Amino acid sequence: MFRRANREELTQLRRSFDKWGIFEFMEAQQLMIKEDRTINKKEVLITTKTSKDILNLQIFQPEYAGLAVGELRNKKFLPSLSGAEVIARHSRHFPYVVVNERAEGLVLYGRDVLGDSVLEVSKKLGQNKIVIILNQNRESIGIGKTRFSAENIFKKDEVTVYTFFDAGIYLRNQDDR
Amino acid sequence: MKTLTFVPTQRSLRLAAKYGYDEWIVNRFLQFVPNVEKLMETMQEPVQKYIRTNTLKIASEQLVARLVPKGFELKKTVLANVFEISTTNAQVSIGATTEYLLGHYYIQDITSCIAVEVLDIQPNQTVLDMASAPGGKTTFIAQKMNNTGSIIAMEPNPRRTRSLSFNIARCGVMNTLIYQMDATECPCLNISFDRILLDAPCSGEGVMWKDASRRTSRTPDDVSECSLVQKKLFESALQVLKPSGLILYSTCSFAPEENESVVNSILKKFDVEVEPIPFGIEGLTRFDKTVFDERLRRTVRFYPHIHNSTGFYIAKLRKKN
Repeated sequence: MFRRANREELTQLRRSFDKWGIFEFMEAQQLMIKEDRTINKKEVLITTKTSKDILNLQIFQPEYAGLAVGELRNKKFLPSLSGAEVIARHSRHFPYVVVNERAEGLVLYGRDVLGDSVLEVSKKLGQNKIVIILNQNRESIGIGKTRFSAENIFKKDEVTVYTFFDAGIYLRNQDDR
Repeated sequence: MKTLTFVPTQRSLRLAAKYGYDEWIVNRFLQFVPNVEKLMETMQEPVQKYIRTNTLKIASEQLVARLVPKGFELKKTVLANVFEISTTNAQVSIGATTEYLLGHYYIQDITSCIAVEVLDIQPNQTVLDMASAPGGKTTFIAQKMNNTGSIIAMEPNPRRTRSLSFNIARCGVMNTLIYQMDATECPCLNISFDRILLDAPCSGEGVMWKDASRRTSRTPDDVSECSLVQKKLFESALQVLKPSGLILYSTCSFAPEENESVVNSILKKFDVEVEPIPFGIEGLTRFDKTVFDERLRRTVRFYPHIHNSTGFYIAKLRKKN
């Protein structure tokens, strides 16, 4: 069901949004939670004031609402692909790797990132960190996890970032257009 | 209106055999389509593709600057932000570029874009999209509203609902609520709408250019069944349209039973006015012995051989106070 975030969730989300550098942007959005208690999942979505009012008034719940920007899991916000895009557009400080054009194509087929294709990384990037994978236009093309910290992430012939999600999913999962 | 069929003629038999259609379809085309043989010749050629810039994410100038070096040729059309596309030198298909995956554009026929364009959608309105999957028109409506207000998108098929949700996410649309339901049930939501788009399920005669199997896989009964569903959807829509609100009815069918006949029955039953549309050629006011309301001249038809688009029909109606 769709509902407003409660006070505890808002605190957790605000803390995470601050870490991702989107606190101010998200404060200006209409935030909702889609909770599925059967699988213990809390999806975070942003929508408009009119849609939020309709959601709050309706007995009939929609299947999807607004833009799902991530999940609230273990008191932390984990961005979805749409969330990663919001972060890449609006944040100035967030963990990222920039990859070259060849790697961009591979990531969009769900492949991991080789150290040779990493062009740039965010400051103080640690090992096993969730990162947003950017192309050379600094657009989010996926979400991954670092295998190494910043100083070793350029290692040749080794996968240094695992790709978890990539924008190619929009093509692979599309039944019809 | 029962689907009309006609006695086969030498011409209908010859054209049907030459181009691989069921005779009854060709014979019907001969009653109302201008220059039928040219239509059938055109539908043998590759389909013209169009893309629409998703201005929620990128400006058209920037998109053109990114696609041209990749080998795509983009030509302007009658609509801003919609381009005719050819892919002579491109290494990848237009549906597999990074820009496509990032939601910078949507591959969409120009007639579908015209349908949204003429609905005069404004920011902060509440809009109903009655048969919304896979989301081409829904995402264009969101673009017209600059992601404000609210779109209620309805789609009964779960698989198509999922496809719709993917396109909405890809295009960065925030203002849409997707209801997995039959749009004839829209009154149960108790919402009144400023604008309604009813791109009705249809027999799909107009997309025979894209999908040649439709040239022989449909029967006159399919057209009649579609016509019944379309009338039901239209009547439900008018119950939830605000006074002075606009409804746009469209199909990708050539069949008068799914187009002028449906709108004609609505004009008889409801206090609505037909608004003019500055594209296409005028709708029919008669089909065989059936005479339709003269106001149907203000509805419009699109043909592949005339408009370089899929076959399409659009009627724009305003509910009176």
